[in-house]
Amino acid sequence: MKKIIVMTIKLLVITVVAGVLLGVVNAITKDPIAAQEAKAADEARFAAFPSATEFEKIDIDISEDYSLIQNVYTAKDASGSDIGVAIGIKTKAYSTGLNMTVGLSAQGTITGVVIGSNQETPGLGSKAAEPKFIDQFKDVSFDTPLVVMKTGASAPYEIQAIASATITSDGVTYAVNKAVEYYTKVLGMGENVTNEAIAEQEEKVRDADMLAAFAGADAFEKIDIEIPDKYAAIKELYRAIDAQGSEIGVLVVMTSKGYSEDLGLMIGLSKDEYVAGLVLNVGAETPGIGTLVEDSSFTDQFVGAPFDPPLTLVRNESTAQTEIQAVSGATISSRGVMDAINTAVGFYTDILSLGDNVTSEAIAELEANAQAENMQAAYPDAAEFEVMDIQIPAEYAQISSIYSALDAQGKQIGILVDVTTKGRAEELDLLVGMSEDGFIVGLVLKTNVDVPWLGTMVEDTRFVDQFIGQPISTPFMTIRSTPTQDNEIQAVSGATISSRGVAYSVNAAAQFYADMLGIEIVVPIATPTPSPVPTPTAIPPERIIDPVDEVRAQVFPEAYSFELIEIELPEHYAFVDSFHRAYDAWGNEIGVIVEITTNGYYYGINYTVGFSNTGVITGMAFGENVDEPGVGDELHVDYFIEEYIGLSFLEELRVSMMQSAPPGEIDAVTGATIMVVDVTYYISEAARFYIDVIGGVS
Amino acid sequence: MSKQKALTILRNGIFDENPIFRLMLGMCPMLAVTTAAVNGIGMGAASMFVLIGSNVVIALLRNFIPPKIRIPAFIVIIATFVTLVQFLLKAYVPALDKSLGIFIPLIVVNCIILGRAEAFASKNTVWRSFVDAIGMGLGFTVALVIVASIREIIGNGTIFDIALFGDRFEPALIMVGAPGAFITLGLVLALINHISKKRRQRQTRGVR
Amino acid sequence: MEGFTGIMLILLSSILVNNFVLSRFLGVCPFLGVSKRVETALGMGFAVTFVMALASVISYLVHYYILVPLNIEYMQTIAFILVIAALVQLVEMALQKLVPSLYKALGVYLPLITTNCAVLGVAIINITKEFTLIQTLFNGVGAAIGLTLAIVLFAGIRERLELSNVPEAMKGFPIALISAGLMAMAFLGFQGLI
Repeated sequence: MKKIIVMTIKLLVITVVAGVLLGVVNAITKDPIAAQEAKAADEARFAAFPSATEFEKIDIDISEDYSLIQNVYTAKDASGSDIGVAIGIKTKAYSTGLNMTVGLSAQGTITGVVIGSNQETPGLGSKAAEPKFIDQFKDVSFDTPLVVMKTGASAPYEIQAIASATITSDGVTYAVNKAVEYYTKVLGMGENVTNEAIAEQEEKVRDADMLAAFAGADAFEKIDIEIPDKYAAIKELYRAIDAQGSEIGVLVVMTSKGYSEDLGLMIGLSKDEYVAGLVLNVGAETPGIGTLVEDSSFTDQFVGAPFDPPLTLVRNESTAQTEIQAVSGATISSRGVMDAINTAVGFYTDILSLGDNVTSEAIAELEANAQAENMQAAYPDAAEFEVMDIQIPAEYAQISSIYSALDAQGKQIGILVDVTTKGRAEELDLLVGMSEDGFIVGLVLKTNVDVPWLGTMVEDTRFVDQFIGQPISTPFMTIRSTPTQDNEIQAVSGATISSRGVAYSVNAAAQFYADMLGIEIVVPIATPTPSPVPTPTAIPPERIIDPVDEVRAQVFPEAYSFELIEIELPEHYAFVDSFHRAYDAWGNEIGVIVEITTNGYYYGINYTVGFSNTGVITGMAFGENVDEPGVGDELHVDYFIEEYIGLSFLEELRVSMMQSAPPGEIDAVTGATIMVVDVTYYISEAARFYIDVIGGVS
Repeated sequence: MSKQKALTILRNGIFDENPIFRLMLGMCPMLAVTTAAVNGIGMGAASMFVLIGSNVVIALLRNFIPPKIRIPAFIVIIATFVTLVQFLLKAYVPALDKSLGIFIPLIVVNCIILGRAEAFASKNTVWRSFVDAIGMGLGFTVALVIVASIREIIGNGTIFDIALFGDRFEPALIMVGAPGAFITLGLVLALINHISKKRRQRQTRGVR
Repeated sequence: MEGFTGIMLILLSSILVNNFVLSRFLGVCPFLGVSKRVETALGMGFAVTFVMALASVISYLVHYYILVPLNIEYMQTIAFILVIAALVQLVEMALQKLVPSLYKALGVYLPLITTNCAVLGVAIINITKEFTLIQTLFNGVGAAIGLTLAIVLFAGIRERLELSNVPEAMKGFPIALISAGLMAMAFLGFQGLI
């Protein structure tokens, strides 16, 4: 026992002595270490802002939004005037808290970015400090937020990610954007950046907005009340007071859901029961959609609108003050704004008890009416509907409710099914009416399908009408060309995926009812691949190709003209530069051309491939190799390209590593195997996109 | 224990019992840090500092430390010196601190140091332990610099940051990467094995 | 990076992309030393995984709840290594009692786990990267799995090497190192993963 005590004490002694020793050394070296770190930080600042001669620290209060920011220094030039700021900011890139310094000039450009104490173990993230990556930020104007691209960064605000360090690249870019945001939004860029200035700046911006949101108001007084959960979107309330000091209404500050971002709104509501003004602060992350809504031609519609009846959204010309015309292509954002206003009005009348308790009930009634209208449209012959109390089997989970359709005598003549499904980016809610003898009598789309940038509606009656009168025993299939069979539905051009979603829902409803009635579902025998439109035997006209299409023509010998397909490509297909439709001499679509730039082994390879709508590759041509001229020249060789021509792309293309490839496989070029694999892989991917999304391959 | 002259102990550390090439200890830092010759020297120096410190202190305390807890005691002492090195580097040579990174604190688990503490310092006088530390430290440094130089020359075209080949030289980047470390060390070891084998053969032949 | 995705990324990184042995050079001693037979390698791997996971968590707690509040972060090296030494001692005793066969097989290599760069390395990395407790745990586990993976693969290769015709000078460590180098090259291929 004694031995153990002695041992423990001895060990303790050693440890304590060690601890004390270290404590002493720590105290001694604390200052030099701090000095070193300060020096490094200063070095970083000078590297990030070369034209500055000195830096002065600003005492700032960082709000939670900007918690990544560590410090801010004003950059001064030789004469002592402010020329910008250097912001020390941290980013949680996947692997580490990278310390960075971002230099921003008062003229609106990024003067430089320096990666500070890079705590990465050598290898991956330290690439962020390499000039090749970090120099991209230099001298870029920060009026557009920076965006990280995996390939093909061209615009100054597009930053090419480091291969194999995408997340670090994302983190760095995010931090730079955040620093810019802080500089422009909080510090009021270029102005006198003191604490008061910051506060003042924020005040000013808000004040201007508030005045714009309530014409006629002169001052605002905050209202401190508890906001019920129902109106949780409302963030702040103010009394609006005019120049004479009398209360003329309220100002509501709230948020609403837009298409992909939250809309911030300030709504002025007059006590005389109309909308006094509207100001939108859209915190859009994706430039494009939300900003359309900020357009005054849209927001002006709201000004002067009475509280009653509640606002409704229309697509065409509005005929009443309370009908708001949606911004074309931004219906969902428009609806977001409208909903917000209705909510604000509801709150004003409900809680602040102005006028009658109108809005919330009216809205509910309206919704009920709309539903009734829809149901009638989906089953015109029915006189009334009764909810059916039956258990919906698990495999029909997309069916939300079932009604029995009754005729004037109260006899059931069929059913009405409410079914939802996924469209391209939203849920589609439809009503399907089906008669007892097994036919679809009506179809109504409850959701406004908003396909961004295309704006085509699946609600188009021409689309919906295709379903009506069809038997429920045959499942529907969407195709892009003109239907030749009963169960083929032509998809809405540009809304293929949503069309498919609708067909899928209808099928589910039909199958459900067929099950219930005991009707057998008949799947049509797979029709043989229809042959392509036979070219007329007439002699084709002379093939004159627009010089712009020269490469495309080379790659698709039978095509006479090409048309760019305007389509938004999912991120997975970022390697595709463009898709063009190829047409023959008589204007028949015979396939597509795809232009690809790969992320090759060290550089990108640019090439063009032609796909015929019969499923074969028509040709291939290589363009300039993106980074390294010379390498990849092996690929230009004819016998390599020839291997692809005539190959079917309906199945994945395979590269063979053997000495001589079996038929149907691509022979890897010695010394360029990885390139060949890459090139082939992207062709297969592009082909898949062509088959699945663009359609047209029989 | 035979009487060993200081010089013999020194030579031992550099040649006969070179920690890397003979004892196969200290692999981790060897592979990680030898991307540039200057790093080799830096790591060697830092390790030597710790080695000297720990060897001396352990030799001093060799009768004070009970055998049963010698390993934890050694570890504490070694760790203390490592932390000291960390302080000193951070305060006065931050560039080295940055390039050696996590391998500075990892000197603590460098088998060489614990190995010498156990095999030598706990059984020898302070002076001898001191000399042994220097010998081992030098041996370690020499080994590091040899491998680092090879990797730097082929992988970067420079030696101690002095460009050797001019612009048209395409460095084999893989040499400064992980594979290069293993392969270089393997080849150097093979070479050493080969040389010593030849030596032994010559010696035996000489005897006949 | 939060939540599940963050964890998956951490695992992917520590096992494949930044494999502890083949990419970071942590744990090279056991890698080269133990791995002559796959069974032994696996056993070592399990022991290491256990120690690394536990060490990660405990060192995290020690750092954030003892060192930081007392402002003695510089004691990190000492504190961590002591924690690890104690842990390994515990593991040794536990193995001796519960699985004596494994204890015998691992023999001298068990204490090797203490002086193993990998265990201390992962503890330090966890703090440097400012991981949360959960992330720390997964990084520790991932690192150990990566280490085990490398060791087991290597053991398999070495079993074969034993039977091949290796030139005299290359026998033993040199050829092992070169094989390791080739393995490291292969693992370089994972770099594009994240």
